[in-house]
Amino acid sequence: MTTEKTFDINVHHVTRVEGHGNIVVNVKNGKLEKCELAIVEAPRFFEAFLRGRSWKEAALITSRICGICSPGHQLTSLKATEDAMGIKVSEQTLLLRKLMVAGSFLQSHVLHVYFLVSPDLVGQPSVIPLASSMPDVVKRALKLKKLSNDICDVVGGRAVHPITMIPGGFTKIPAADDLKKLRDRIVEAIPDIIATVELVAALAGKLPNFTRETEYISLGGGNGEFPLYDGQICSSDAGLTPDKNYRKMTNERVVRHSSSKHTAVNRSSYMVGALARCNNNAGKFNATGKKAAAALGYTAPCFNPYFNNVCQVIECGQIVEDALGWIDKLLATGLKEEPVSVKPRAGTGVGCTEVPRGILYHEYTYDDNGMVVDANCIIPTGQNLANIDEDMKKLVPEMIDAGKSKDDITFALEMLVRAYDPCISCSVHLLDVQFVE
Amino acid sequence: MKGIRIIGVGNEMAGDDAVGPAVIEALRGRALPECVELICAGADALGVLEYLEDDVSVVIVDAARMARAPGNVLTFPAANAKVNIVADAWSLHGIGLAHVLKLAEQMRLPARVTIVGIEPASVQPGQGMSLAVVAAIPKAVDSVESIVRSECEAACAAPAPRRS
Repeated sequence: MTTEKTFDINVHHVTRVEGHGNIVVNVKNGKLEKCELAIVEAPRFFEAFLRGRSWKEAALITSRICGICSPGHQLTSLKATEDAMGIKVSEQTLLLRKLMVAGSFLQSHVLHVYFLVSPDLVGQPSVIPLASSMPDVVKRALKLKKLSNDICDVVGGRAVHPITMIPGGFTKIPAADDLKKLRDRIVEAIPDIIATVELVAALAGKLPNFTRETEYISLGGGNGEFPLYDGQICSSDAGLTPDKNYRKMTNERVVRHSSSKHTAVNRSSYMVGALARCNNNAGKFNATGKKAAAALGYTAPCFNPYFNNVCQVIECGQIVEDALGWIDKLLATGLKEEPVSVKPRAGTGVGCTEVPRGILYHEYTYDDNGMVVDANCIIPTGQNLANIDEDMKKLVPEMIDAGKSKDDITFALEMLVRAYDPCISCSVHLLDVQFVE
Repeated sequence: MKGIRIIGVGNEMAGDDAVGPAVIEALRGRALPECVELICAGADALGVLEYLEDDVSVVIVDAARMARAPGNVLTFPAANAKVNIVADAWSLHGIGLAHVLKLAEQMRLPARVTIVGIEPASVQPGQGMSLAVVAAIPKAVDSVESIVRSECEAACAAPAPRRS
């Protein structure tokens, strides 16, 4: 047993996550009384902002929900609008959108694994001490970040809050030469991806050996490709269901300790994100994904939430190979301008895609003039919150029984929250300077 | 390697934090030597790191809390200042310039960095800068141009390396 039988853990603003969340744990006489991740960010009210705005603006507005997942929000928004107005998109649009997904996933995963997770695995408080001992590792991360930004730049017109994607297609398509250059750079980046797999494989033994089976929800079905942009909603408990049924697959509810709503379907909680995607779709790994999974010791299904980070690395390999295939298809068919003409109409539509942190839903209702009457967005981090609470409730008693110290428990909890890669808000950056006299 | 990179950093939706990008915009209207590259990094401070990987002169323009009155402009080599990392800021959204300068130092990146800091009045969310900071933009532009003049003499006017 721990030396202390009664203790509280209060981690105010967990570090290396996006936004503000507090871990609150109360243990009395060796018994867990309370254990939760309190979300203290203010609500964002994006759904209310959308009401009364035009169908042309929805994707541009919702893009601003997140500076990291802006392409993902746009794509989901476009799908919802297209669903509401019965708009079909071309094969070229589909492939270009998937390339955006690739760029967006690669950027988010690379930065999360290198900058926010790896310090835990090497016992450092941040990436800064790593930079002096392993500058090449940090340079590799930056190179991959630049590549993923450039993918979004070439396809979307800019890396953050892209501007070329509209309901029905693109206002501007990339030049074939630019896509060819991108292809060469992706090929050049393959050794960097392999090195990333090797780095994380060497450190994966440091991940806590904790398991808790839960329901895993992600996209599934589709055409045999690892589904990130289209498919149906897939639950590890209940199988496939169309995206129209997303409300039954989320069941948002308000909880006392969090300004973000919680969700649940077949159990008290479920998990979304890289681990859920890999558990539900491991049969669809391409050769690179399979190799990465084998090197990292991942086999589906895996019930260790800390493996979400391992699955992010598998997905980097998976995405790079798929992206090359999509570019080859685009180049083989030949890129062409496709004029888009949309006649707005009344209707309700749902869009559902995977973003780096998990499955994302947008639903809009439009009036005859194409103005938003009602909107609903369900974000992955919100869907994971109940699952994080449930993991903590199992993990803390196990660690108390194993005689772990309060510090060990605190570290394991912070690492758990980071494993989910939660994205709670955006922040201000300011230099704080003291002069050396 | 020749060249001077002028990089404006800051979130244009966070009050006076917008001053870095605003100075870059003001510099676009000035006649600058060809060796000068103007870069607006916006809120992506991490993106600044890649510009520090070469042996060049880099000027970073940013709002900086320097214990001066709002609108004060100070120019100083990054190496001469202790840039504090504000606690809890490590996240993909929150990688600030302080982290980036520290990372560059730890990685021993070769760029020589000068900071033109402008003391903000407020960096609360919202568009529009305070009067004191808007009034400081011409002075910040002057400061950058004076660095450019002295660096350019060193960078551009230096005799070409002799081929052996």
